Amino acid sequence: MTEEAILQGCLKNQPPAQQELYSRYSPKMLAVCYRFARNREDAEDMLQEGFIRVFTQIHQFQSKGSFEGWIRRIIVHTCINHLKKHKRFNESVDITQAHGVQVREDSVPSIIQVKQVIECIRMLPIGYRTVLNLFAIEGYSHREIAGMLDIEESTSRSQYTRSKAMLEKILVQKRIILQPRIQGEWVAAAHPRF
Amino acid sequence: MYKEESFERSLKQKVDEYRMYPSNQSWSNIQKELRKTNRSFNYKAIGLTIILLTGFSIYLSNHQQTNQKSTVAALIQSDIAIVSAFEQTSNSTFQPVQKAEKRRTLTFRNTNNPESSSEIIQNLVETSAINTEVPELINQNQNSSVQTNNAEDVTDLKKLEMVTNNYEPTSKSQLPDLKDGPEQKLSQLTTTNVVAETLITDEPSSAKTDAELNYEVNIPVVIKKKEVKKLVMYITPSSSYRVLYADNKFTFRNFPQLDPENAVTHTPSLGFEAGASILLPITKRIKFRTGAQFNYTSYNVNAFSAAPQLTTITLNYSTSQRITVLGNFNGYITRKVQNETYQLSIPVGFEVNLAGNKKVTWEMGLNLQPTYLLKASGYMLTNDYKNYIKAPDLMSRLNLNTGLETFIRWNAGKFQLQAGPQLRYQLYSNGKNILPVKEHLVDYGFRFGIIKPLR
Repeated sequence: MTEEAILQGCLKNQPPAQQELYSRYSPKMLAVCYRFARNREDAEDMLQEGFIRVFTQIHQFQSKGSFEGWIRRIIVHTCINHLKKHKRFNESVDITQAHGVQVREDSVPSIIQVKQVIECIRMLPIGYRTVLNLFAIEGYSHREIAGMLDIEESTSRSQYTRSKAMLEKILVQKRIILQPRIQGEWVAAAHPRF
Repeated sequence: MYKEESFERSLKQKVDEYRMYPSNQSWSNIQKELRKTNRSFNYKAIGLTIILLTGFSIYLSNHQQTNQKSTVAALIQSDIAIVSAFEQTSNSTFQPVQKAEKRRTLTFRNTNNPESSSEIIQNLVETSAINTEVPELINQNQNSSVQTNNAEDVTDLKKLEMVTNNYEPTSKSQLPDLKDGPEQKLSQLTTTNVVAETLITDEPSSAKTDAELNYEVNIPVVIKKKEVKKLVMYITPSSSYRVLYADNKFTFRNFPQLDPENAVTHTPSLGFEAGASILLPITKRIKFRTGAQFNYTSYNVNAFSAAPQLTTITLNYSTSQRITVLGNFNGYITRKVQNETYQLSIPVGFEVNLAGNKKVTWEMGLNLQPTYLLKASGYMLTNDYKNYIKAPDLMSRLNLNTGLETFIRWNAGKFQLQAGPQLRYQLYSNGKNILPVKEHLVDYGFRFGIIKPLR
């Protein structure tokens, strides 16, 4: 079934088209939710909530951008709302952990396994993790993030800086990467501790 | 700031490769949620069907009863014809001697025997709620005369309503004169009509002689119960929503293909209606109704919080610019606002009795409601559908609603109660005529009412 056929079917509330859309995009979207969520159950809740919104608001899709991108934006917003609703942002953030860690603006070694990186991201405090997800992975600007999370733009920037530093520290601790000795280069550890 | 192969880019590439497969339960839950709305409409449909079927069954049973009564009435009318035949053969004259106030029964006495004219034998037939009685022959000189004197007979008599609707003597000349005693004629009655036989059972032998001398005939006269005014007080919880459409007079260049219904995410919300009205009978089945009514309507608008921006609404011959922080398609976070109205209206309409009996009736009502808008939150969609503005000043103060309802009404002691579904639709747009997007409110409610007769 083509994407256009799925879209038309969903506009007519046809269950087969809805199921096809869900089957096609849910694995990717669950991974998105998982990065924001505290656990898998929360991630599935976010996914369900997000897809319900996708199906009920599908008539608002204007075919100007990619369909997947539109779904992804809805899923991300749903995740943010879910976190706000459950007051996840009130959880304490240990900012001191990030102090003293030098931030590198370098690439992640390609040999690092995806799942390991995701698990490290999920180890970040919820505030850091959310900003990192939104800025580094979802591509939102700090201004947009500030609006979404009801924080100052500068706060978003500083949180991102600290989250990157903390992520690096975690990656080192978990021996996913070695403490970099050469500027601008991370080296994957041989035996990551996962 | 970052190199081309930046931290963010490679991180994004990495994590985007990751896939997780949701449990089967997830899809089931989504399906359930998506079907929930449809199910609620199904429940409404089932409920309405049950009410309609109940009403139809009441109508059918009422119709059958009417047929039975008509048959009995036809038989009894033939008896009356026989009694009328006495007029031609009897020298007796009749005159009405009593008109019982409550029993509504005329008693006619044979004036051939003036001695017996001073006494009136009480009619054993008690007035039923139906306000009709059956003919009765009374021998004044004998207590055990030709009359109904046991409970079964009374019951049978009550069944014989409608008999004398057309039998009301207007002058003495029309009253039956009896030459012979009634016994002979009564025997004719008994052979003619099985039902009437119950009226004259256990006739004593002495009645023959007495009846020749003097007897009375109690002929019931049906006096129709006067329909009274009624006061109705009611409350109607409802599900409020709206119907949207674009006025063709306005151009939607940006969204020529888009129906506003498809451009917004609205959900119904709870509303209610409360009021009092007077029912004035016009005919036996039709009543005029008017009164005063308060309505609260509400529906949810799912929008987004957005940065303050200037929006333009194209009016008929001008434009109006407003600042808004509500986006329709996108924004920082989702935001739900309620479009509420508080209305005062004067319903004027009719109620029609469709079916029923003395205890339960099935009615249908239709009315028009000139409405005044007391207060409104007034969130309106802009021309390009991109934003909502809060503009209660652009809402029309006067409007016209229409109501359609069907309900069951039943007796409950001194009062009557009623319950049934109703539909209320606003005939003119919520906003002033100059606005491009037309919005008509609609309420699906279930009305509960209490009815008090007014003397």
